Amino acid sequence: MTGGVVETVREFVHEALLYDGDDEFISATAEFIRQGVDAGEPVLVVVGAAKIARLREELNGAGDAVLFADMAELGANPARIIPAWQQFVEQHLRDDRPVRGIDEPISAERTADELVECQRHEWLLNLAFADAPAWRLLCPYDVSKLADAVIEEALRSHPIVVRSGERGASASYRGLADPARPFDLPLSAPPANAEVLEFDGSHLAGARQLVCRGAADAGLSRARANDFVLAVNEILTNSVRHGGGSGLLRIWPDDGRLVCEVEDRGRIDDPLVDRRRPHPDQISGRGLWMANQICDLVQLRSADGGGNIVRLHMSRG
Amino acid sequence: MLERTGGGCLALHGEVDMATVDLLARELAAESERGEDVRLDLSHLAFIDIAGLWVFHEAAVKLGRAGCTLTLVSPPPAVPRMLALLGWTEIASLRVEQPP
Repeated sequence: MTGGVVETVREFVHEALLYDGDDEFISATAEFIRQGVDAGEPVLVVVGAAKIARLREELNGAGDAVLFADMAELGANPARIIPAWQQFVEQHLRDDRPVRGIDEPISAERTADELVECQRHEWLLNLAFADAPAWRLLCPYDVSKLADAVIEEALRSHPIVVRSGERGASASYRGLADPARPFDLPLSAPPANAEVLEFDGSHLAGARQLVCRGAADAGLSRARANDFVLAVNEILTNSVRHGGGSGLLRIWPDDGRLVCEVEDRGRIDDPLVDRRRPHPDQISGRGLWMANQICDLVQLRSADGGGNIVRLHMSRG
Repeated sequence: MLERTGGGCLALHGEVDMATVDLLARELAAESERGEDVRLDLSHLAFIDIAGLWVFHEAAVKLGRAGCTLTLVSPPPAVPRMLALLGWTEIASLRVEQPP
């Protein structure tokens, strides 16, 4: 990476690493980690379990100071990753010493819905840490497995790109303007067999029963069903309190999952609304954050002219 | 919503959501003003939302200031899990008791 030159960072640096297969992943990320360890920087690596095992081996003891987290646990729902980075940065960053991290949310195994939300996560990182003290985050992308369109989006969401050891500015970086795009793209249409309930504040108990029945039909465990009911109830409550008082609940099974979608007439202005860890003394504003802690995936769309859609996914587990 | 049972315990029945949370808040606030520990039996609680858990949090904070505690007895498993996710398990005056 630029001949191993260690530069002093002055702001949040968000880099895409385009690598060709696992061997290049290991050599490039291990070098990035060693640079951090040598400089006394705290390092957090969030990648898949197999890569963690290979990295520990490659680092051969130098990895003892490095924190590792399995992406399948921490970032199965990609909206949980930014709060984890915020916590890491708050705990470890000092004025005289930056930190660094590796974050690989996007792999070929992600479903189409997950991929879109991972791409949203990548873009939101720029916004979440725009005013943060200096630290470096490297996001690896496997060009041997990912579609060209995925790599093109990585170049738009990362100001810096590293490829074959060359590090430079990404010409197609989108910048911080227009936070919604391209994530205001509509979600896929709900299937024709979706159950639909028009709700207002008097229908919450009935809505919970509907979700409970759907969860049983979809084969969710009792615990996961109860958690999902809680998450959906919070989103419905948000609609009644802040989203115009009423809305539509749609519910359908999808390939081993249960999907619930809540549509209302509210509008969400803060793109990071669902990934700010609420302060324990804060009285409200926890619904979306909790939904992300509970559900496998939460898709949030807010249209310019008003109208929110929150689509929650829960698998059998 | 609260029903006095034997042994100085209160029982919370039914479902706590936006339709009933204010009632729970009023009743629990009244109980919290007696200057005594409050024990709340949740074994018959069918549902509670986050605003309802906030009511527990508020009551525990208030009781804590008076040197008292709020104990949630036999809660559904989701209750302690959600309290932990919300960062509300750090309050010394909020206790969870699961009889063996």
